Amino acid sequence: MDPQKRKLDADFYGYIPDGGSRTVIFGCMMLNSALLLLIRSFSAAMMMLVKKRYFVAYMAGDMALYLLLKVARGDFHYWMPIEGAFGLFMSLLARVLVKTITDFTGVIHVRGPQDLGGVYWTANMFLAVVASFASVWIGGGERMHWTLVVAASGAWLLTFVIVLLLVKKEYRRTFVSSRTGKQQIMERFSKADDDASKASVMKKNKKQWAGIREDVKAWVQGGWWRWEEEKPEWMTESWIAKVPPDMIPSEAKQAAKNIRASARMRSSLAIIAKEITVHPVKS
Amino acid sequence: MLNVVAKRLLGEVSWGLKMRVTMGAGLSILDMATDIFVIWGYTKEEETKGYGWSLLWMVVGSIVLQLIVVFAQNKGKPRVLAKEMLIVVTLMKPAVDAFRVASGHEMDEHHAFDAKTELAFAKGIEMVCESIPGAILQLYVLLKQSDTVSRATVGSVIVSAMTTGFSSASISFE
Repeated sequence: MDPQKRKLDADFYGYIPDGGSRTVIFGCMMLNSALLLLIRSFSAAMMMLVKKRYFVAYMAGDMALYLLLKVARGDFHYWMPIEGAFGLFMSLLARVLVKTITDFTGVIHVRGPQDLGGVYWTANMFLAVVASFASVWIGGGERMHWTLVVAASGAWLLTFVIVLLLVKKEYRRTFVSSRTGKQQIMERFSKADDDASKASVMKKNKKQWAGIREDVKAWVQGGWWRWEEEKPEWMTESWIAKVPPDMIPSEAKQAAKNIRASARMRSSLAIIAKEITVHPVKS
Repeated sequence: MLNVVAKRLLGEVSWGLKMRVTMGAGLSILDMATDIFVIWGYTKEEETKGYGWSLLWMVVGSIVLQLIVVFAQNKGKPRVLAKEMLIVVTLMKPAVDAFRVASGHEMDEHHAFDAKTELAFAKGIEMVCESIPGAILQLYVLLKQSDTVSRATVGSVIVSAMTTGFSSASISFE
């Protein structure tokens, strides 16, 4: 468990209760995912036996709808702080990978706003199982095939219900939440009551918090010199290197520039540089 | 007193995490081994040779995508990048990632994300490139040649499903 993540996203992390039920939840999650992979792979194979094109068309159409929905909600950019054309490529790659993984394995974690989002994740799961039944029907499944899919789907549903019943009650709404990734990041910054929590905004893609850029700038400029004196743990070289140059007070810009340059140096030098704290002189 | 309790609890959490990542790495390696066994089995027979090559391309695709992530994580650091790429091509990535997470490896200043996120990416790529298409392909071959059910293929699909289930549960267990 990451205490910082729990603090930042208290309404998302921490849904597993303490005590003996943890093992049952882990076991059910594992079985749930393994069963979904078997059901989905089996039905995909059935569809491919009829016509491979059907399977490709279904997967491509489903993916296109998902990406369009993300674009329409202004939530296409992934949280990774990688900018420019490569950042856009990484966002597309991450979105496609996460959606494909979820379709076949139902990773519960990606119900979060940064990934699929609660309500989309839940709808996606049930549609995936329904699509599996449709595939067996299209594939002219025999009695044995139907028995296999019905039994596995029943066990999948059972393990999912057990997980829902055992997680902390107040977190069940995360399975039907419609919050987007950028909403979560901006809310996280605005609601945070300490600098350490607010500082996490720099670890996210700037496109995701463009809506509160001026607030972030005011916070950085208001606190920079105090942080220089107090040297908080979160104000690492990695963090300074991620702060947009226009947000850094002009007197400290050269020091930050040096840090950015050192971040591009060879690894061995970077390890030494980590030990050095840069203290710009106030004018 | 509070410190002692906190330390004990943290110790347990750390042990649980270590066990999970080590078991995950072990399952990943077992999954890779069963995949290689099935590839070997498929390429022996003329009828299934093409499927063997397809499975092999899945493994190659997984390696290429992991190299892209390693590039994103270490760009601008040629020496570190070369070392990390070597870890990927020698198939040691699951074990190294597991070790880094279990030992609380900290982010370097050039890193875009932490060790746990990097492990999640590697697991995700493994699922997308190997486990999922591998399971589909092997079940397709099983359904197509329903008169000769291969135990190795059934075993490989089950190992893939369990590995994927374990990775999925580990990622979600926070």
